[in-house]
Amino acid sequence: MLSGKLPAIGVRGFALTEEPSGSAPALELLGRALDQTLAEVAPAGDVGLLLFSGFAFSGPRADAPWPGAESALLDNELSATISRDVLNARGLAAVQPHGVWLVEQLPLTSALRVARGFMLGEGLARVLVVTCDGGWSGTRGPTCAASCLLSLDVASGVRLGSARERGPASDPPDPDLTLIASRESWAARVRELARWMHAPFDVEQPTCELTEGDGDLWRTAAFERDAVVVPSLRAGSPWQ
Amino acid sequence: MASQSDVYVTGLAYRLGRDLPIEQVLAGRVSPDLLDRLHGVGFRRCAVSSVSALQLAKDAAAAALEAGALHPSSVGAVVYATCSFWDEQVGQLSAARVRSEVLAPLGLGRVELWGVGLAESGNLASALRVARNLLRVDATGAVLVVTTDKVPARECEYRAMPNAVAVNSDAAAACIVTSEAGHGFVLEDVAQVSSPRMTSHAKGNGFAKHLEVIAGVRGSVGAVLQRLGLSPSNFRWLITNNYGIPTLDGFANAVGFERERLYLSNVPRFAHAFSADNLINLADAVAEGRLSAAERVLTLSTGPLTWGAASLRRC
Repeated sequence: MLSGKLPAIGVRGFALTEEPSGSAPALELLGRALDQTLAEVAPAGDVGLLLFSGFAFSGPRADAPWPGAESALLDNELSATISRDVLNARGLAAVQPHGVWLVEQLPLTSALRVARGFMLGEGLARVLVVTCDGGWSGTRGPTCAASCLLSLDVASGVRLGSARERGPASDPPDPDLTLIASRESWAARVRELARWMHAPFDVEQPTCELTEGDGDLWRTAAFERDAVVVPSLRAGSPWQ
Repeated sequence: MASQSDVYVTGLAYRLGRDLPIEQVLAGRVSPDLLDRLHGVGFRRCAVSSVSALQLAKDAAAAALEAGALHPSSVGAVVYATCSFWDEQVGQLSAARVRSEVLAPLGLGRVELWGVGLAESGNLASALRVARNLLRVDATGAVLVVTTDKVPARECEYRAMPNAVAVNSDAAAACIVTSEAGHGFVLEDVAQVSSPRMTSHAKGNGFAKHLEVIAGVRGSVGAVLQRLGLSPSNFRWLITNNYGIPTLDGFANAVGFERERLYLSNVPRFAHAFSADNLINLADAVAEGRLSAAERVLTLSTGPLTWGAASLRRC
Protein backbone atom coordinates (compact mmCIF):
# COMPACT_ATOMS: atom_id res chain seq x y z
CA MET A 1 0.00 0.00 0.00
CA LEU A 2 1.25 3.43 -0.83
CA SER A 3 2.16 5.67 2.03
CA GLY A 4 2.62 9.40 2.31
CA LYS A 5 0.98 12.15 0.30
CA LEU A 6 -0.20 10.97 -3.09
CA PRO A 7 0.57 13.08 -6.15
CA ALA A 8 -2.31 14.91 -7.80
CA ILE A 9 -3.68 13.51 -11.03
CA GLY A 10 -4.84 16.20 -13.42
CA VAL A 11 -7.77 15.53 -15.75
CA ARG A 12 -7.45 17.42 -19.00
CA GLY A 13 -9.14 17.55 -22.36
CA PHE A 14 -12.32 15.80 -21.27
CA ALA A 15 -14.33 15.23 -24.43
CA LEU A 16 -17.62 13.59 -25.22
CA THR A 17 -18.96 12.64 -28.63
CA GLU A 18 -22.43 11.34 -29.32
CA GLU A 19 -24.40 10.01 -32.23
CA PRO A 20 -28.05 10.24 -31.27
CA SER A 21 -29.17 7.98 -34.06
CA GLY A 22 -26.94 5.24 -32.80
CA SER A 23 -25.76 4.57 -36.30
CA ALA A 24 -22.12 5.56 -36.08
CA PRO A 25 -19.60 2.83 -35.29
CA ALA A 26 -18.36 3.11 -31.74
CA LEU A 27 -14.78 3.13 -32.90
CA GLU A 28 -15.44 6.19 -35.06
CA LEU A 29 -16.93 8.13 -32.15
CA LEU A 30 -14.13 6.97 -29.92
CA GLY A 31 -11.65 8.39 -32.41
CA ARG A 32 -13.50 11.69 -32.59
CA ALA A 33 -13.48 12.03 -28.80
CA LEU A 34 -9.80 11.21 -28.72
CA ASP A 35 -9.15 13.82 -31.41
CA GLN A 36 -10.81 16.48 -29.25
CA THR A 37 -8.70 15.49 -26.27
CA LEU A 38 -5.48 15.50 -28.24
CA ALA A 39 -6.32 18.86 -29.82
CA GLU A 40 -6.91 20.40 -26.43
CA VAL A 41 -3.99 18.99 -24.49
CA ALA A 42 -1.51 18.18 -27.27
CA PRO A 43 0.46 15.70 -25.18
CA ALA A 44 4.07 15.15 -26.04
CA GLY A 45 5.20 11.71 -27.06
CA ASP A 46 5.38 10.38 -23.53
CA VAL A 47 1.88 9.04 -23.05
CA GLY A 48 2.43 5.75 -21.29
CA LEU A 49 -0.82 3.99 -21.95
CA LEU A 50 -4.19 4.31 -23.58
CA LEU A 51 -6.96 2.55 -21.74
CA PHE A 52 -10.04 1.37 -23.57
CA SER A 53 -13.20 0.35 -21.81
CA GLY A 54 -16.89 0.34 -22.34
CA PHE A 55 -19.99 -1.40 -23.48
CA ALA A 56 -18.85 -1.18 -27.05
CA PHE A 57 -16.21 -3.79 -26.38
CA SER A 58 -18.42 -5.89 -24.18
CA GLY A 59 -21.53 -6.47 -26.18
CA PRO A 60 -22.61 -9.69 -27.82
CA ARG A 61 -21.36 -10.42 -31.30
CA ALA A 62 -24.44 -8.98 -32.90
CA ASP A 63 -23.40 -5.65 -31.40
CA ALA A 64 -19.85 -5.84 -32.66
CA PRO A 65 -17.99 -2.56 -32.34
CA TRP A 66 -17.07 -2.23 -35.98
CA PRO A 67 -18.25 -3.76 -39.24
CA GLY A 68 -16.82 -7.19 -39.70
CA ALA A 69 -15.93 -7.74 -36.09
CA GLU A 70 -18.23 -10.70 -35.93
CA SER A 71 -15.91 -12.54 -38.28
CA ALA A 72 -12.84 -11.93 -36.14
CA LEU A 73 -11.39 -15.19 -34.95
CA LEU A 74 -9.56 -13.84 -31.94
CA ASP A 75 -9.20 -10.36 -30.60
CA ASN A 76 -6.11 -10.01 -32.76
CA GLU A 77 -8.49 -8.19 -35.04
CA LEU A 78 -9.60 -5.83 -32.29
CA SER A 79 -6.08 -5.16 -31.11
CA ALA A 80 -4.86 -4.59 -34.65
CA THR A 81 -7.80 -2.35 -35.48
CA ILE A 82 -7.33 -0.19 -32.41
CA SER A 83 -3.59 0.00 -32.99
CA ARG A 84 -3.95 0.89 -36.66
CA ASP A 85 -7.08 3.05 -36.74
CA VAL A 86 -6.91 4.73 -33.35
CA LEU A 87 -3.28 4.89 -32.24
CA ASN A 88 -1.14 4.72 -35.35
CA ALA A 89 -3.45 7.03 -37.28
CA ARG A 90 -2.89 9.73 -34.66
CA GLY A 91 0.85 9.41 -34.35
CA LEU A 92 0.58 7.53 -31.05
CA ALA A 93 2.74 4.80 -32.50
CA ALA A 94 4.54 3.91 -29.28
CA VAL A 95 1.58 4.06 -26.91
CA GLN A 96 0.44 0.80 -25.37
CA PRO A 97 -3.22 -0.06 -25.86
CA HIS A 98 -4.63 -1.61 -22.71
CA GLY A 99 -8.11 -3.05 -22.57
CA VAL A 100 -10.31 -2.90 -19.47
CA TRP A 101 -13.07 -5.46 -19.90
CA LEU A 102 -15.94 -6.95 -17.93
CA VAL A 103 -17.04 -3.52 -16.73
CA GLU A 104 -20.30 -3.18 -18.66
CA GLN A 105 -22.13 -0.95 -16.19
CA LEU A 106 -19.00 0.75 -14.90
CA PRO A 107 -16.88 1.74 -17.89
CA LEU A 108 -15.51 5.17 -17.04
CA THR A 109 -15.03 4.80 -13.31
CA SER A 110 -13.31 1.45 -13.91
CA ALA A 111 -10.97 2.86 -16.52
CA LEU A 112 -10.14 5.79 -14.27
CA ARG A 113 -9.38 3.47 -11.39
CA VAL A 114 -7.09 1.27 -13.47
CA ALA A 115 -5.39 4.36 -14.86
CA ARG A 116 -4.93 5.74 -11.36
CA GLY A 117 -3.29 2.44 -10.42
CA PHE A 118 -0.81 2.68 -13.26
CA MET A 119 0.02 6.27 -12.36
CA LEU A 120 0.31 5.97 -8.59
CA GLY A 121 1.55 2.39 -8.57
CA GLU A 122 4.10 2.64 -11.37
CA GLY A 123 4.65 6.34 -11.82
CA LEU A 124 3.30 6.59 -15.37
CA ALA A 125 3.14 10.33 -16.00
CA ARG A 126 0.43 10.43 -18.64
CA VAL A 127 -2.40 8.05 -19.47
CA LEU A 128 -5.12 8.53 -22.05
CA VAL A 129 -8.50 7.09 -21.15
CA VAL A 130 -11.12 6.37 -23.79
CA THR A 131 -14.42 4.72 -23.09
CA CYS A 132 -17.46 4.22 -25.24
CA ASP A 133 -20.99 2.96 -25.16
CA GLY A 134 -22.69 0.94 -27.83
CA GLY A 135 -25.96 1.70 -29.47
CA TRP A 136 -24.77 1.11 -33.02
CA SER A 137 -27.72 -1.17 -33.54
CA GLY A 138 -29.97 1.78 -32.85
CA THR A 139 -31.74 -0.05 -30.06
CA ARG A 140 -29.72 0.92 -27.02
CA GLY A 141 -29.77 4.67 -27.12
CA PRO A 142 -27.03 6.91 -28.43
CA THR A 143 -23.58 5.78 -29.35
CA CYS A 144 -21.19 7.86 -27.34
CA ALA A 145 -17.58 8.00 -26.33
CA ALA A 146 -15.62 9.94 -23.74
CA SER A 147 -11.94 10.69 -23.65
CA CYS A 148 -9.48 12.49 -21.41
CA LEU A 149 -5.82 12.70 -20.52
CA LEU A 150 -4.73 11.97 -16.98
CA SER A 151 -1.48 13.62 -16.07
CA LEU A 152 0.78 13.79 -13.04
CA ASP A 153 2.29 17.06 -14.18
CA VAL A 154 -0.76 19.26 -13.65
CA ALA A 155 -0.98 21.06 -10.34
CA SER A 156 -4.24 22.89 -10.87
CA GLY A 157 -7.52 22.60 -12.69
CA VAL A 158 -9.62 19.45 -12.51
CA ARG A 159 -8.06 16.64 -10.51
CA LEU A 160 -9.03 13.02 -10.04
CA GLY A 161 -9.44 12.25 -6.38
CA SER A 162 -10.49 8.80 -5.33
CA ALA A 163 -11.64 6.06 -7.67
CA ARG A 164 -13.03 3.09 -5.87
CA GLU A 165 -15.52 0.31 -5.45
CA ARG A 166 -18.28 0.88 -2.96
CA GLY A 167 -21.50 -0.69 -1.86
CA PRO A 168 -24.67 1.05 -0.73
CA ALA A 169 -24.89 -0.58 2.68
CA SER A 170 -21.34 -0.31 3.93
CA ASP A 171 -20.01 2.59 1.94
CA PRO A 172 -22.74 4.88 0.63
CA PRO A 173 -22.01 7.85 -1.63
CA ASP A 174 -21.12 11.10 0.04
CA PRO A 175 -24.22 13.35 0.01
CA ASP A 176 -22.01 16.41 0.34
CA LEU A 177 -20.58 15.80 -3.08
CA THR A 178 -22.27 16.77 -6.29
CA LEU A 179 -23.43 13.30 -7.11
CA ILE A 180 -23.86 12.17 -10.67
CA ALA A 181 -25.70 8.94 -10.12
CA SER A 182 -28.07 6.89 -12.17
CA ARG A 183 -29.53 8.73 -15.13
CA GLU A 184 -31.44 7.45 -18.07
CA SER A 185 -28.26 6.46 -19.83
CA TRP A 186 -24.53 6.34 -19.46
CA ALA A 187 -24.30 9.18 -21.97
CA ALA A 188 -26.48 11.38 -19.78
CA ARG A 189 -24.22 10.81 -16.80
CA VAL A 190 -21.05 11.52 -18.70
CA ARG A 191 -22.65 14.56 -20.37
CA GLU A 192 -23.32 15.96 -16.90
CA LEU A 193 -19.74 15.28 -15.86
CA ALA A 194 -18.46 17.01 -19.00
CA ARG A 195 -20.67 19.99 -18.30
CA TRP A 196 -19.27 20.31 -14.78
CA MET A 197 -15.71 20.03 -16.03
CA HIS A 198 -16.12 22.66 -18.71
CA ALA A 199 -18.36 25.13 -16.90
CA PRO A 200 -16.90 28.22 -15.27
CA PHE A 201 -15.61 27.50 -11.80
CA ASP A 202 -18.37 27.54 -9.22
CA VAL A 203 -17.25 27.88 -5.63
CA GLU A 204 -20.44 26.10 -4.59
CA GLN A 205 -19.53 23.03 -6.62
CA PRO A 206 -15.79 22.45 -6.29
CA THR A 207 -16.23 18.69 -6.26
CA CYS A 208 -18.09 16.18 -8.36
CA GLU A 209 -18.55 12.45 -8.04
CA LEU A 210 -19.42 10.15 -10.91
CA THR A 211 -21.16 6.96 -9.87
CA GLU A 212 -21.67 4.04 -12.22
CA GLY A 213 -23.41 0.75 -11.67
CA ASP A 214 -26.52 -0.29 -9.86
CA GLY A 215 -27.82 -2.84 -7.43
CA ASP A 216 -25.19 -3.66 -4.86
CA LEU A 217 -22.13 -2.94 -6.99
CA TRP A 218 -20.97 0.44 -8.06
CA ARG A 219 -17.79 2.30 -8.61
CA THR A 220 -17.18 5.97 -8.11
CA ALA A 221 -14.69 8.52 -9.29
CA ALA A 222 -14.41 11.77 -7.39
CA PHE A 223 -13.14 14.96 -9.02
CA GLU A 224 -12.18 18.29 -7.56
CA ARG A 225 -11.19 21.55 -9.14
CA ASP A 226 -10.01 25.02 -8.28
CA ALA A 227 -10.34 28.39 -9.91
CA VAL A 228 -6.81 28.66 -11.25
CA VAL A 229 -7.34 26.88 -14.53
CA VAL A 230 -10.69 26.71 -16.26
CA PRO A 231 -10.72 24.31 -19.19
CA SER A 232 -11.57 26.05 -22.41
CA LEU A 233 -15.00 25.72 -23.88
CA ARG A 234 -14.87 24.23 -27.28
CA ALA A 235 -17.12 25.44 -30.05
CA GLY A 236 -19.65 22.83 -30.96
CA SER A 237 -19.05 20.76 -27.89
CA PRO A 238 -22.21 18.93 -26.87
CA TRP A 239 -22.22 20.30 -23.33
CA GLN A 240 -22.39 23.92 -24.47
CA MET B 1 5.17 7.59 -6.64
CA ALA B 2 5.60 6.59 -3.01
CA SER B 3 7.79 3.78 -1.71
CA GLN B 4 6.53 0.31 -2.52
CA SER B 5 6.24 -2.83 -0.45
CA ASP B 6 7.03 -6.26 -1.87
CA VAL B 7 4.51 -8.09 -4.01
CA TYR B 8 4.48 -11.89 -4.20
CA VAL B 9 3.25 -14.40 -6.75
CA THR B 10 2.13 -17.76 -5.41
CA GLY B 11 -0.41 -20.52 -6.00
CA LEU B 12 0.68 -21.33 -9.55
CA ALA B 13 -1.78 -23.68 -11.22
CA TYR B 14 -3.07 -24.56 -14.65
CA ARG B 15 -5.45 -26.68 -16.68
CA LEU B 16 -4.66 -27.89 -20.17
CA GLY B 17 -7.01 -29.37 -22.73
CA ARG B 18 -6.68 -32.96 -23.88
CA ASP B 19 -3.15 -33.90 -24.90
CA LEU B 20 -3.03 -34.88 -28.57
CA PRO B 21 -0.36 -35.25 -31.25
CA ILE B 22 -0.39 -32.35 -33.68
CA GLU B 23 -0.70 -34.76 -36.63
CA GLN B 24 -4.06 -35.85 -35.28
CA VAL B 25 -5.31 -32.35 -34.48
CA LEU B 26 -4.17 -30.82 -37.74
CA ALA B 27 -5.04 -33.74 -40.03
CA GLY B 28 -6.67 -32.39 -43.15
CA ARG B 29 -6.43 -28.81 -41.89
CA VAL B 30 -2.89 -27.89 -42.85
CA SER B 31 -0.63 -28.84 -45.70
CA PRO B 32 1.99 -31.57 -45.28
CA ASP B 33 4.59 -28.87 -45.81
CA LEU B 34 3.33 -26.81 -42.87
CA LEU B 35 3.14 -29.89 -40.70
CA ASP B 36 6.78 -30.64 -41.53
CA ARG B 37 7.77 -27.10 -40.69
CA LEU B 38 5.91 -27.25 -37.37
CA HIS B 39 7.78 -30.45 -36.53
CA GLY B 40 10.99 -28.82 -37.58
CA VAL B 41 10.65 -26.00 -35.05
CA GLY B 42 9.92 -28.35 -32.17
CA PHE B 43 6.15 -28.85 -31.96
CA ARG B 44 4.90 -32.38 -31.25
CA ARG B 45 1.69 -32.22 -29.23
CA CYS B 46 -0.98 -29.70 -28.34
CA ALA B 47 -3.91 -29.38 -25.94
CA VAL B 48 -7.48 -29.37 -27.21
CA SER B 49 -10.28 -28.74 -24.77
CA SER B 50 -13.85 -29.93 -25.04
CA VAL B 51 -14.93 -27.45 -22.37
CA SER B 52 -15.14 -23.68 -22.63
CA ALA B 53 -12.47 -21.16 -21.74
CA LEU B 54 -14.71 -20.18 -18.82
CA GLN B 55 -14.63 -23.75 -17.48
CA LEU B 56 -10.87 -23.94 -17.94
CA ALA B 57 -10.57 -20.67 -16.03
CA LYS B 58 -12.70 -21.98 -13.18
CA ASP B 59 -10.63 -25.14 -12.88
CA ALA B 60 -7.33 -23.25 -12.93
CA ALA B 61 -8.59 -20.68 -10.42
CA ALA B 62 -9.78 -23.40 -8.05
CA ALA B 63 -6.40 -25.10 -8.31
CA ALA B 64 -4.60 -21.82 -7.63
CA LEU B 65 -6.62 -21.18 -4.48
CA GLU B 66 -5.76 -24.68 -3.31
CA ALA B 67 -2.08 -24.43 -4.25
CA GLY B 68 -1.83 -21.07 -2.54
CA ALA B 69 -3.80 -22.27 0.50
CA LEU B 70 -5.96 -19.18 0.14
CA HIS B 71 -9.53 -19.05 1.39
CA PRO B 72 -11.90 -17.29 -1.03
CA SER B 73 -12.77 -14.76 1.66
CA SER B 74 -9.19 -13.49 1.46
CA VAL B 75 -9.42 -12.71 -2.25
CA GLY B 76 -10.01 -9.01 -2.79
CA ALA B 77 -10.07 -8.92 -6.58
CA VAL B 78 -9.90 -11.09 -9.66
CA VAL B 79 -7.95 -10.04 -12.75
CA TYR B 80 -9.19 -11.99 -15.76
CA ALA B 81 -7.11 -12.04 -18.94
CA THR B 82 -8.17 -13.44 -22.26
CA CYS B 83 -8.06 -12.81 -25.98
CA SER B 84 -10.70 -15.42 -26.87
CA PHE B 85 -14.05 -13.74 -27.31
CA TRP B 86 -15.75 -14.98 -30.38
CA ASP B 87 -18.01 -17.93 -31.19
CA GLU B 88 -18.48 -20.18 -28.20
CA GLN B 89 -16.17 -18.04 -26.07
CA VAL B 90 -18.40 -14.96 -26.33
CA GLY B 91 -19.37 -15.49 -22.69
CA GLN B 92 -16.01 -14.07 -21.75
CA LEU B 93 -17.32 -10.65 -22.74
CA SER B 94 -19.95 -10.81 -20.02
CA ALA B 95 -19.15 -9.94 -16.44
CA ALA B 96 -22.32 -11.75 -15.39
CA ARG B 97 -21.20 -14.98 -17.03
CA VAL B 98 -17.65 -14.79 -15.70
CA ARG B 99 -19.09 -14.19 -12.25
CA SER B 100 -21.67 -16.97 -12.45
CA GLU B 101 -19.61 -19.62 -14.28
CA VAL B 102 -16.09 -18.97 -12.98
CA LEU B 103 -16.21 -17.04 -9.73
CA ALA B 104 -19.46 -17.89 -7.95
CA PRO B 105 -18.74 -21.65 -7.82
CA LEU B 106 -15.50 -20.78 -6.02
CA GLY B 107 -17.18 -18.48 -3.52
CA LEU B 108 -15.92 -15.39 -5.34
CA GLY B 109 -19.17 -14.17 -6.87
CA ARG B 110 -19.01 -10.73 -5.29
CA VAL B 111 -15.32 -10.06 -5.61
CA GLU B 112 -14.07 -7.10 -7.67
CA LEU B 113 -13.59 -8.23 -11.26
CA TRP B 114 -11.20 -6.70 -13.77
CA GLY B 115 -10.85 -7.93 -17.31
CA VAL B 116 -7.63 -7.09 -19.13
CA GLY B 117 -6.76 -7.49 -22.76
CA LEU B 118 -5.27 -6.19 -26.00
CA ALA B 119 -1.81 -7.66 -25.33
CA GLU B 120 -3.10 -11.09 -26.39
CA SER B 121 -0.46 -13.75 -25.72
CA GLY B 122 1.28 -11.07 -23.69
CA ASN B 123 -1.76 -10.53 -21.46
CA LEU B 124 -0.05 -12.01 -18.41
CA ALA B 125 2.24 -9.00 -18.06
CA SER B 126 -0.80 -6.70 -18.30
CA ALA B 127 -2.60 -8.75 -15.66
CA LEU B 128 0.38 -8.74 -13.30
CA ARG B 129 0.67 -4.97 -13.60
CA VAL B 130 -3.02 -4.41 -12.85
CA ALA B 131 -2.90 -6.86 -9.93
CA ARG B 132 0.22 -5.25 -8.49
CA ASN B 133 -1.34 -1.80 -8.78
CA LEU B 134 -4.52 -2.92 -7.05
CA LEU B 135 -2.37 -4.08 -4.14
CA ARG B 136 -0.15 -1.04 -4.08
CA VAL B 137 -2.66 1.72 -4.61
CA ASP B 138 -5.94 0.32 -3.34
CA ALA B 139 -4.75 -2.27 -0.79
CA THR B 140 -7.29 -4.58 -2.36
CA GLY B 141 -6.14 -7.76 -0.65
CA ALA B 142 -4.93 -10.85 -2.47
CA VAL B 143 -5.58 -10.73 -6.21
CA LEU B 144 -6.41 -13.88 -8.14
CA VAL B 145 -4.99 -13.65 -11.67
CA VAL B 146 -6.53 -15.93 -14.27
CA THR B 147 -5.61 -16.19 -17.92
CA THR B 148 -7.63 -18.42 -20.21
CA ASP B 149 -7.91 -18.95 -23.95
CA LYS B 150 -9.32 -21.39 -26.42
CA VAL B 151 -9.04 -21.64 -30.17
CA PRO B 152 -12.40 -21.26 -31.97
CA ALA B 153 -13.97 -24.57 -32.93
CA ARG B 154 -14.66 -23.54 -36.51
CA GLU B 155 -12.25 -24.16 -39.33
CA CYS B 156 -9.55 -21.54 -39.12
CA GLU B 157 -5.85 -21.02 -39.28
CA TYR B 158 -5.43 -20.31 -35.61
CA ARG B 159 -4.75 -23.82 -34.36
CA ALA B 160 -1.58 -23.76 -36.42
CA MET B 161 -0.17 -20.46 -37.56
CA PRO B 162 0.68 -20.46 -41.28
CA ASN B 163 4.10 -18.99 -40.53
CA ALA B 164 4.85 -22.00 -38.29
CA VAL B 165 5.58 -19.78 -35.30
CA ALA B 166 2.96 -21.45 -33.15
CA VAL B 167 0.54 -24.30 -32.67
CA ASN B 168 -2.10 -22.96 -30.30
CA SER B 169 -3.42 -24.91 -27.33
CA ASP B 170 -6.48 -24.49 -25.12
CA ALA B 171 -5.55 -23.78 -21.53
CA ALA B 172 -5.97 -21.63 -18.46
CA ALA B 173 -3.47 -20.75 -15.77
CA ALA B 174 -3.83 -18.86 -12.53
CA CYS B 175 -1.81 -17.46 -9.68
CA ILE B 176 -2.26 -15.33 -6.60
CA VAL B 177 -0.66 -11.91 -6.35
CA THR B 178 -0.41 -10.84 -2.76
CA SER B 179 1.43 -8.64 -0.32
CA GLU B 180 1.74 -11.57 2.08
CA ALA B 181 5.14 -13.25 1.94
CA GLY B 182 4.79 -16.89 1.04
CA HIS B 183 6.42 -19.79 -0.72
CA GLY B 184 6.18 -18.48 -4.23
CA PHE B 185 8.03 -15.63 -5.89
CA VAL B 186 8.76 -12.00 -5.27
CA LEU B 187 7.50 -10.01 -8.25
CA GLU B 188 10.49 -7.71 -8.52
CA ASP B 189 9.39 -5.76 -11.56
CA VAL B 190 7.28 -5.96 -14.69
CA ALA B 191 7.40 -3.79 -17.79
CA GLN B 192 5.70 -3.68 -21.18
CA VAL B 193 6.51 -2.09 -24.51
CA SER B 194 4.10 -1.67 -27.43
CA SER B 195 4.47 -0.76 -31.05
CA PRO B 196 1.15 0.02 -32.73
CA ARG B 197 3.20 0.93 -35.79
CA MET B 198 3.50 -2.82 -36.35
CA THR B 199 0.10 -2.57 -37.99
CA SER B 200 1.42 -0.18 -40.63
CA HIS B 201 3.71 -2.77 -42.17
CA ALA B 202 2.23 -4.27 -45.29
CA LYS B 203 1.72 -8.01 -45.57
CA GLY B 204 4.94 -9.64 -46.62
CA ASN B 205 7.12 -7.07 -44.91
CA GLY B 206 8.31 -9.65 -42.46
CA PHE B 207 11.76 -8.23 -41.89
CA ALA B 208 10.42 -4.88 -40.68
CA LYS B 209 8.05 -6.72 -38.34
CA HIS B 210 10.88 -8.89 -37.09
CA LEU B 211 12.90 -5.80 -36.22
CA GLU B 212 9.93 -4.34 -34.33
CA VAL B 213 9.52 -7.58 -32.39
CA ILE B 214 13.18 -7.71 -31.43
CA ALA B 215 13.07 -4.06 -30.41
CA GLY B 216 10.01 -4.74 -28.27
CA VAL B 217 11.56 -7.77 -26.60
CA ARG B 218 14.75 -5.85 -25.91
CA GLY B 219 12.82 -2.82 -24.71
CA SER B 220 10.73 -4.67 -22.15
CA VAL B 221 13.57 -6.85 -20.88
CA GLY B 222 15.97 -3.90 -20.86
CA ALA B 223 13.56 -1.82 -18.78
CA VAL B 224 13.32 -4.50 -16.10
CA LEU B 225 17.06 -5.22 -16.03
CA GLN B 226 17.96 -1.56 -15.88
CA ARG B 227 15.52 -0.70 -13.11
CA LEU B 228 16.69 -3.66 -11.02
CA GLY B 229 20.38 -3.26 -11.83
CA LEU B 230 20.58 -6.85 -13.04
CA SER B 231 22.00 -8.67 -16.05
CA PRO B 232 20.98 -11.93 -17.75
CA SER B 233 23.53 -13.82 -15.65
CA ASN B 234 21.42 -13.08 -12.58
CA PHE B 235 18.61 -15.28 -13.90
CA ARG B 236 18.37 -19.07 -13.84
CA TRP B 237 15.80 -19.21 -16.62
CA LEU B 238 14.33 -17.14 -19.40
CA ILE B 239 10.71 -18.30 -19.52
CA THR B 240 8.84 -17.36 -22.67
CA ASN B 241 5.70 -18.13 -24.57
CA ASN B 242 6.05 -21.49 -26.26
CA TYR B 243 6.67 -20.46 -29.84
CA GLY B 244 8.83 -22.37 -32.30
CA ILE B 245 12.33 -22.94 -30.97
CA PRO B 246 14.13 -20.82 -33.60
CA THR B 247 11.92 -17.87 -32.61
CA LEU B 248 12.76 -18.41 -28.94
CA ASP B 249 16.45 -18.73 -29.76
CA GLY B 250 16.15 -15.36 -31.43
CA PHE B 251 14.54 -13.85 -28.33
CA ALA B 252 17.25 -15.26 -26.05
CA ASN B 253 19.98 -14.03 -28.33
CA ALA B 254 18.41 -10.59 -28.57
CA VAL B 255 18.45 -10.09 -24.80
CA GLY B 256 21.78 -11.77 -24.07
CA PHE B 257 20.60 -15.01 -22.51
CA GLU B 258 22.59 -18.18 -23.14
CA ARG B 259 20.62 -20.89 -24.93
CA GLU B 260 21.01 -23.14 -21.87
CA ARG B 261 18.91 -20.73 -19.81
CA LEU B 262 15.98 -20.87 -22.21
CA TYR B 263 13.16 -23.01 -20.79
CA LEU B 264 12.01 -25.12 -23.72
CA SER B 265 10.50 -28.22 -22.11
CA ASN B 266 6.92 -27.39 -22.95
CA VAL B 267 7.34 -26.53 -26.63
CA PRO B 268 7.06 -30.19 -27.67
CA ARG B 269 4.72 -31.04 -24.77
CA PHE B 270 1.78 -28.75 -25.53
CA ALA B 271 3.01 -25.88 -27.75
CA HIS B 272 1.59 -22.40 -27.28
CA ALA B 273 -1.19 -21.86 -24.74
CA PHE B 274 -1.57 -18.12 -25.35
CA SER B 275 -0.77 -16.03 -22.26
CA ALA B 276 -0.97 -19.07 -19.98
CA ASP B 277 2.44 -20.20 -21.24
CA ASN B 278 4.50 -18.26 -18.71
CA LEU B 279 2.63 -19.43 -15.63
CA ILE B 280 2.57 -23.05 -16.83
CA ASN B 281 6.29 -23.02 -17.55
CA LEU B 282 6.99 -21.40 -14.21
CA ALA B 283 4.87 -23.96 -12.35
CA ASP B 284 6.59 -26.82 -14.17
CA ALA B 285 10.10 -25.46 -13.56
CA VAL B 286 9.31 -25.43 -9.84
CA ALA B 287 7.67 -28.86 -9.90
CA GLU B 288 10.65 -30.32 -11.75
CA GLY B 289 13.03 -28.99 -9.12
CA ARG B 290 14.78 -26.79 -11.65
CA LEU B 291 14.53 -23.63 -9.62
CA SER B 292 16.06 -23.24 -6.16
CA ALA B 293 15.31 -20.73 -3.44
CA ALA B 294 16.52 -17.20 -4.22
CA GLU B 295 17.01 -18.00 -7.92
CA ARG B 296 15.43 -15.66 -10.43
CA VAL B 297 13.48 -16.18 -13.63
CA LEU B 298 12.75 -13.62 -16.28
CA THR B 299 9.39 -14.14 -17.93
CA LEU B 300 8.77 -12.81 -21.40
CA SER B 301 5.09 -12.36 -22.35
CA THR B 302 4.83 -11.51 -26.00
CA GLY B 303 1.90 -10.75 -28.25
CA PRO B 304 1.77 -9.40 -31.80
CA LEU B 305 2.54 -5.81 -30.80
CA THR B 306 2.97 -5.72 -27.03
CA TRP B 307 5.92 -7.31 -25.25
CA GLY B 308 6.25 -7.70 -21.50
CA ALA B 309 8.97 -8.85 -19.12
CA ALA B 310 8.83 -9.65 -15.43
CA SER B 311 11.51 -10.52 -12.92
CA LEU B 312 10.51 -13.11 -10.34
CA ARG B 313 12.73 -14.27 -7.47
CA ARG B 314 11.87 -17.50 -5.74
CA CYS B 315 11.28 -17.13 -2.01
